[in-house]
Amino acid sequence: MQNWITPKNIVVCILITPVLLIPFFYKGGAALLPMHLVIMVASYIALAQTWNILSGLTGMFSLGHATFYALGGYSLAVAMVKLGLNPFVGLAAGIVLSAFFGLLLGAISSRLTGFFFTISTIALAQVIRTVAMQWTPVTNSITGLKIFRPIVSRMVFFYVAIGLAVAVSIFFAYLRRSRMGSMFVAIRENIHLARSLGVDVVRYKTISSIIAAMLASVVGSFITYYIQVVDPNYLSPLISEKIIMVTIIGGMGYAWGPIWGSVLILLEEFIRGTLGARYAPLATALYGVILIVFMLFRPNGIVSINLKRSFGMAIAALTPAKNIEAAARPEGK
Amino acid sequence: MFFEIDGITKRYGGLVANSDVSLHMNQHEIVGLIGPNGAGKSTLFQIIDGFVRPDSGSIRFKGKELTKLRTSRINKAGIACTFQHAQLFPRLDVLESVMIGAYCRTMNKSAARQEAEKLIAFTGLAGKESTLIDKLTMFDRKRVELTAALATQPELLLLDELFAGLNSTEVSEMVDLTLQIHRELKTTFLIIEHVIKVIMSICERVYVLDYGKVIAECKPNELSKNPLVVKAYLGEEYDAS
Ligand SMILES: Nc1ncnc2c1ncn2[C@@H]1O[C@H](COP(=O)(O)OP(=O)(O)OP(=O)(O)O)[C@@H](O)[C@H]1O
Ligand SMILES: [Mg+2]
Repeated sequence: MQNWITPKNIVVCILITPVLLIPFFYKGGAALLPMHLVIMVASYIALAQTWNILSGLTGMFSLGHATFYALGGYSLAVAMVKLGLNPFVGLAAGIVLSAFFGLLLGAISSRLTGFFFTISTIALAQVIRTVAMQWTPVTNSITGLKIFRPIVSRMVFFYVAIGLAVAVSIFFAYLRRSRMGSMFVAIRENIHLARSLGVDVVRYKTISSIIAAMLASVVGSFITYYIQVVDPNYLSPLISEKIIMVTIIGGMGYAWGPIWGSVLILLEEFIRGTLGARYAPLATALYGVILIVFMLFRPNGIVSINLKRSFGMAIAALTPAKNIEAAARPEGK
Repeated sequence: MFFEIDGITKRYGGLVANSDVSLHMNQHEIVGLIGPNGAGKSTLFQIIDGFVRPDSGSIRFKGKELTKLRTSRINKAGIACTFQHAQLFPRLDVLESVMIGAYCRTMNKSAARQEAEKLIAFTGLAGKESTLIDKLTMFDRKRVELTAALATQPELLLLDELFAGLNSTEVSEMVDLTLQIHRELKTTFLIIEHVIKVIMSICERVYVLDYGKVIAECKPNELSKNPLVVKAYLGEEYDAS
């Protein structure tokens, strides 16, 4: 629970380093696509990590996390397009607005728990979606808002996206180890026991909701600035669902969960690249299948796969029978 | 008065789970609460803990009225409990489970950790700090629950059938531990227990509950001489004989 510098973390960092050098491997325009993919994956990591705080750590299962992502996106776009303000003003407005709705969700969660809380997160997303569709003078309804910004090198977005993913992930890991993180998991694990040990459940649920909302809003603003458009699709259940799937597949409640899981986003791009754009939705079906397989065999996700043991079993399978049992046994037993 | 319950009544529909229950405790006492199944013992604990609101009556702890407080506030006031069905954090390890209790009293992580490690050693769980709760035996689980409750530094500790489901060696170890906590941490205890031997060996005074009513208050060795208590446990036939 305490040590940061584990062999596993070191190995992973070494594996990730080449990704950072992508802009230098390719010449000219060839780097644009790989950089775009990394930006999307990194953004998903950051966004999924914020959901991981709310649902993975605190156990408040939200199906409407895209709400905050969209609030960030719309705040940025409205500030820039409608009001002609600096993008950072939009970013800040999104954070404030999301904090307010996070507070609202926290207040709701003190009354509604479990299934009923989840339903209310869907309802909130629908309300915001309706506003985005109907409040045409501000949001341009279904067309959405198109942002005009100075040309920024994609390399900047590339490193900002990675920086965002790393920062939010480190924040998550830090939070998990802190007093507040312990309060969050206590609520997730056993709300009655938490109460009887003096945990102020309503307070920490609300804090968790506000933190998750504000960070998700930052990711939403970033993406909007990058792709230069925001529309009601930001509030599509598909986005909320994708965040949930990648986090659960990776490992809910663990800092590495959304990181491993978000790599799956590449599957969609891979299918688009090989089979053509028509088949891209196939990826969603595949996520579903992968999710079910994990739920059945590895409910704690990719992070719970013990590499040493899996390799041990693979090697044992190739060697004479009497060794199999020994290799399959967990270490130290 | 250290702890005082006055006229607590709780109805579930037509069923009166607690009927005008009053009891009092002095500091540093160990008091037993016994009674047949369904007598309303756990209900009374839930009311003290603030999980359930009584229909009427009041509870005072060191002069402070508790009846309107939230559970977490009642804990901060100095009352902790263990539950009839052991309540734990299944996917956390022993150390963090106890630290969560310790965080009730400190904002500082290393202070909480120190306090937790000290108590884990005190209750005989040393060496199991990083074991997940899921992997523990029943006895160890009950000790973790007790240790986490202790970490909140309670002055009054409520134990709901802590000794149930343990074998006889474990029961006597738990009895020793309870007495050691009583001696060294100066904790006051209110204990629900069916095992009469445990009541006999640790309680100074016993309240008997039957159909939600307090039917007796006496020393443990006087229990068998009280006709009301005998009748509550053995039923009407005994009366006839
Ligand atoms: N939430 C509830 N709703 C309805 N009835 C309840 C509720 N909780 C308890 N009761 C009823 O109140 C009565 C007292 O229950 P309680 O659990 O307090 O008994 P107990 O003395 O702890 O018994 P045991 O020794 O079996 O643990 C029982 O008849 C029980 O069915
Ligand atoms: Mg009971």
